[in-house]
Amino acid sequence: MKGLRKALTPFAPDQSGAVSVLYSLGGIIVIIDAGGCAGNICGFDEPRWSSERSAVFSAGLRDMDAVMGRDRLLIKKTVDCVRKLKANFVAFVGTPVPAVIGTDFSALKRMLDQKLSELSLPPLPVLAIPTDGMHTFDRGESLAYLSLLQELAERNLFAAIPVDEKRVGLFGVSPLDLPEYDADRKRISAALRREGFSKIIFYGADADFSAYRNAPANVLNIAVSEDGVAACSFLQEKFKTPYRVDFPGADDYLKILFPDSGQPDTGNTAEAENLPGGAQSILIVNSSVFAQSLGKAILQYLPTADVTIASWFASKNENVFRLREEDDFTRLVTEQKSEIIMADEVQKKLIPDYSGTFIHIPEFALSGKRRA
Amino acid sequence: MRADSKRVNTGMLPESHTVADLAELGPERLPDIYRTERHLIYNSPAALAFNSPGAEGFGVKRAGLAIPGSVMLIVSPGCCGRNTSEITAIRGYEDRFFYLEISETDLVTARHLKKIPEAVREIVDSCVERPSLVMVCITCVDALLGTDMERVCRAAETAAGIPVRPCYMYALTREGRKPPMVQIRQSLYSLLPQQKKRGASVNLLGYFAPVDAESELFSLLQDIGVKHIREISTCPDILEFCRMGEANFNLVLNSEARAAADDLADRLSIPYIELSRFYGPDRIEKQYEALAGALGVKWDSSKGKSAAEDGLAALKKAYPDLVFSIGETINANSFELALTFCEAGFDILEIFRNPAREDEYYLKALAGLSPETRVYSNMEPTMIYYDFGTGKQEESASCEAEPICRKKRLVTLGKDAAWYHPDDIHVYWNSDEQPFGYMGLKKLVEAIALAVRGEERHERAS
Repeated sequence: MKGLRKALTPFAPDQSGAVSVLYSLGGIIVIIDAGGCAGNICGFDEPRWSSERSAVFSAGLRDMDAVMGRDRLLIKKTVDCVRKLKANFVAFVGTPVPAVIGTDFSALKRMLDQKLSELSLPPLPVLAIPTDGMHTFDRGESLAYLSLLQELAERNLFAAIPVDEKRVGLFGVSPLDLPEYDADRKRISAALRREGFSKIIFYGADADFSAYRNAPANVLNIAVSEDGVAACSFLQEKFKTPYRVDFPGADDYLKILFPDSGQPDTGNTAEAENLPGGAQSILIVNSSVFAQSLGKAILQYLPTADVTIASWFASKNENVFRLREEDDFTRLVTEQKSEIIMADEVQKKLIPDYSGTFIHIPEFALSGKRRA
Repeated sequence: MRADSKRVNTGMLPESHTVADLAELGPERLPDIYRTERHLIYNSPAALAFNSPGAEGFGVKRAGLAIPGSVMLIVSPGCCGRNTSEITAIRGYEDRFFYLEISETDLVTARHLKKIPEAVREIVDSCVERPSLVMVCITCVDALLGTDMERVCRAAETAAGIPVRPCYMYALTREGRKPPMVQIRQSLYSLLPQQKKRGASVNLLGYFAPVDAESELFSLLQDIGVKHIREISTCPDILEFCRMGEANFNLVLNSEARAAADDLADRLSIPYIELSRFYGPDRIEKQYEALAGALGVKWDSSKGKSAAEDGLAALKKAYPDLVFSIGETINANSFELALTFCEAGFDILEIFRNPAREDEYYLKALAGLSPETRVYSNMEPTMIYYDFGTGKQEESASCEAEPICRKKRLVTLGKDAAWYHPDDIHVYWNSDEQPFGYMGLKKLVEAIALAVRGEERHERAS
């Protein structure tokens, strides 16, 4: 049945993606929910929550707030919070409740702007992010990046600084994007240092608010996941900063497939004749940019390999097989006769009779398991 | 739980009041920081129990599977079921959750409701063992849509041929008249059938995990002839659960089960008596005396009292310098627990909990014994400025005459209190198994002594 899940748990939602991008930026993040969504976002999807404080709040909606649409009360609570805390911006993040009652996010933004002005409080960038909990995290990340960059542009908050030839900006690198958050940032940094960059900015990971304001200094932006493409595209339009879509350092994962594959860190790889066990076909399921970059690395190493790329999340690349229902994955494995699967092992449940080689590459946004 | 590695050093302080202030103000004039409807809700790990009740312990999802052999279908936007993979990692909950995700179109057309009976049938067919019951869990969006889930469940029962019951994970209503954790108990106990009454049977209602089997409550009941003491968590199968319908009376140990007890009183004529969980020995004794009076029996209600009192006195003698920081993520009423330790001569640095109307007595008593104890709200926005580990703001704000605080050894009680003091001595006291009565106090004191000794050993070793 469409929409029925018997093996996989729900994927990271768009609201988690939005908060993930904004988490470390020193803003007041107001999740417009009754509490459960805020708890899920931070308590489950946000690994930085236990080690790094951030002003993330629940609007604490109650049934009558939703029925009566008490936006003024929400604005009042937010203004009280602005008075008490030091913040770089305010972000309103949507959940299913505002989606059902039809909350006007742009009106919230206007109301807060107006209230701060009436009370002679300093103006703050206000982000209105209409996530709804019914889409996946990548949409939320894309909306949050774009909303922040647009707001900085509208308020003339981008720094007027020259381009730095050593500085590269990465978008789509939040803890929800990367298979191995800490290790991948090291892999990506190592790969970009080999390209000659020394200032590597991870937007959505550890970049702070000023790094966004200084984005015009980036000589290049890279969308490491599809959800970073809109931000890169915006910066290209605004500052003519070129961008590419790529997961630098994905070839490091070749070590898992080919333990004797030389030194990917130095680019010194030799061609192999076969995949492990003499296999020829391989299926990679993960975030589409990562999976494609890894697939490309495999083909460079073993040009005869039959590589199929699939993703549970949106991709503009038509060569990426989009998985939507549990049966899609089962069918794909059967039809492709994949001898090797590189994917989060939570999907093993969908193919109990599979006899090939299953190589686990984590995908937390899919599995909800940091260590599967 | 890890310490905060990025300390906030803004010079700003979290808002709080002393128990003396709060006792004077009374529940009618409670400051806004303790009223969750008056401010945004801060979302720190210390507030997780409020923001995501099911993240630890029992929320609606885990509680909804209290009936042995049952499974759950969560019908919701994806975000509502997202953290369920954490529950499926708990033994006994694997392969018991299923999901029917709602899309934007479903919200507009409500077509998802038509799919539920078929989904339930498909789930039942796919299970290796036939489930005893299917719980259909719905969330805030259906609360707003006004879905009649009782009717949908009846249709699903017909389609699948097994009992199907709704459970409502309506975060929107949690501070209303019938919060989700009240409704889930009503839904589960609605399954109890009419049975022939047995005088020697009693049910303990309130928790989804067992009451500590060593609690004197069991022996007191057995001494007056009770042979069967049933709890939902200890029923091995649905048949044994159904035998809860034969009880002579119910003991309600958690007020969230009161509505279910009312239902059972009306529907099955099972009367109930409500008990509170106390740690103060005198309060425990008085409650047992009152219970004996209500039951028309006589028993030695001081059974176990001296052992608990002796344990508390021994703790004070061995470690007179202990100071307590008491949280709300704990198997206790934080204010009653604070009073218990205050009465035993210990200092209480702070309490993390919004005072409720029923806490007025404890606040007044605490105001007499420890007026400078500060009360914080985990959910209040300025708690982002609580200075982890140093306690400095407490010294300057509250400890002018005789500083309690950092000169003594701080013991945190409750997981949330531990969050604020990562380098001190922690006793979470929030296990699934529920402490009760004198035995609860005795074991808590033992746990504190064990933690202090552990800390001493650690200090010696380092």
